[in-house]
Amino acid sequence: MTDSTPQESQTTTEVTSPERASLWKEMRTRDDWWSIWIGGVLLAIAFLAVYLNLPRDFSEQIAAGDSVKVSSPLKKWIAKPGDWSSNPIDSIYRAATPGDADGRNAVEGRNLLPGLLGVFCISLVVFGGGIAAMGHSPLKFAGGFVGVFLLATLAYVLAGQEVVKHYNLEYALWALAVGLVVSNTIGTPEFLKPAVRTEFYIKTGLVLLGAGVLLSRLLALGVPGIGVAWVVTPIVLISTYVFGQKVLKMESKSLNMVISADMSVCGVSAAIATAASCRAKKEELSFAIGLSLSFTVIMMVVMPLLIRAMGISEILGGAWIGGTIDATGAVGVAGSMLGEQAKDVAVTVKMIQNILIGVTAFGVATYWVTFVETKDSGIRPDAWEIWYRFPKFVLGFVAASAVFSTLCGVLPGGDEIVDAMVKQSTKTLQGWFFCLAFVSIGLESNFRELAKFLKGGKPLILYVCGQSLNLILTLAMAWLMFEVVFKDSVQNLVK
Amino acid sequence: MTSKQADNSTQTTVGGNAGRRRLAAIVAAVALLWLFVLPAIGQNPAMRAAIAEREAQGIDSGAMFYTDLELMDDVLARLKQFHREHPDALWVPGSSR
Repeated sequence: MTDSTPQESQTTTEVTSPERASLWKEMRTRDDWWSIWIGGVLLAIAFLAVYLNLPRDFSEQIAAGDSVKVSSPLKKWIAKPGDWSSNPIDSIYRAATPGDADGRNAVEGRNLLPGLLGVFCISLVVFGGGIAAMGHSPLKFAGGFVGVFLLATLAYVLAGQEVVKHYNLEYALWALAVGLVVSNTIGTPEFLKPAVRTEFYIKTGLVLLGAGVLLSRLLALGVPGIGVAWVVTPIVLISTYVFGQKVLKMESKSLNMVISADMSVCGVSAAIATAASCRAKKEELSFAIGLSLSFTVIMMVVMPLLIRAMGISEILGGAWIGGTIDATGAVGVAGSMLGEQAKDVAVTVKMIQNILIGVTAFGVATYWVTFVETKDSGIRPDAWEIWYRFPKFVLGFVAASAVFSTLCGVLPGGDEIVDAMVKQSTKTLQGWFFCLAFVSIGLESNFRELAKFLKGGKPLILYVCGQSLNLILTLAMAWLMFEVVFKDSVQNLVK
Repeated sequence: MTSKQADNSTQTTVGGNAGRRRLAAIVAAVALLWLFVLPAIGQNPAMRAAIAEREAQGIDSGAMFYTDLELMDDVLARLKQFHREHPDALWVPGSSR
């Protein structure tokens, strides 16, 4: 995405720069590199916290095939507001109630305040440190960060209302809305601006996300899963992008790419990764996410009805849902409307697709610096030019994925250790960083900037055409894999 | 878009008192929706049942990534077990017969 400071944005608009900063200097002054350092340190601490807290006989228990509970001591200190039904305070603090005599209607108590404070302190320290190292005032950052963090907390509370959550209206949408409301009514207050660091938050969040992109899970459904998620998805992504450029002649290549990726891969997370990789404008990312979430809600309701009406089997229906509905949560919901088997197949196919975002981010970043950014200038980039322009945080993202995939494979109980680390600490931090980023985007955006994308309807046509192709190809591939080639194996799987 | 451009475009749309009035109106509307309307919808028996079912199944409807879904643990454990028992099943057509 285009950077938020004039100095940085200058570097993104130049095709070649006559004077290059040394690699060492870049490593100390660019948010691309700082996102890697911060992400790396957080991942290392989170991993060690789990690893050093393992039971003494952990390896023996794993070798014996026992189920071992692994936990992170950081869990208590890293939290986000939870769900609530009628009282928003419940999202952070709720007293336990015993329920009636036989224990029914009992409510578990919760106090997430230490976790929220923990996240605030961690974020303030790591980003404040990065900001200082990049030559900006950490004090001004800290003053603004308090406000941005409070707005992000409000977004999480809005997203946590159970009905809102039920309809898959993710926190990204509310974070964006909260920021937009402030910037388009009273204007973004001056004191907040030093903490409006969209790129920095997103890139760091993506490095953390890399730890959940575990390559071993690619093979969870063998050839059928790869066929649906890894053969169809890239075909749809590339075809939709080419369609947008050659047929619709979309002016913005980056918007074309972000919509193609979020529609074909996995919604918001893919949109974030792709937008950062191709340096899309902030408004383009916001628009693509709004588009994706709108269609997700529709498809989440319509697809199960359509599958039933067409008489499609649960397994095939689940695979179809997993390969086509953008958002992971919505895939689970739509799959469960068809049945247990459909739900399991749907979320597994979606998980395999989730893992594709690492490859997508790397591929898009490479394509962008090699072909798109240099095309207008007519300059053929050499290897150094490509390296110089390559968004380095993608390397951190890919490295995190490679390191934790390897740890999963080589450590006894590696799956359990990495799972505990991700689910009990880094996943929550990553969510906060994305939430801070979306609040920042809202604070920097204007309603009119978003509305202009609707003119002419090209992005809408792109999404509808791309999703139609996705629906057809995914159904065909899922039918071939699950109902023809691997029919017997799949029947055994669901027994 | 740079922050400078964003600032300029934002400044054209906001005003002092008018902006504050608009913000107050939006805050009131959000409070009305989130504190009264949505909780009332949530009390609808059909909605209650649907929400309870999702929770029981470990489905977070707002999940952005597979690691957000609690149910993945069980699904992955079952798949692991299946692959142990049928190592070639999903790799070679007809191998599980």
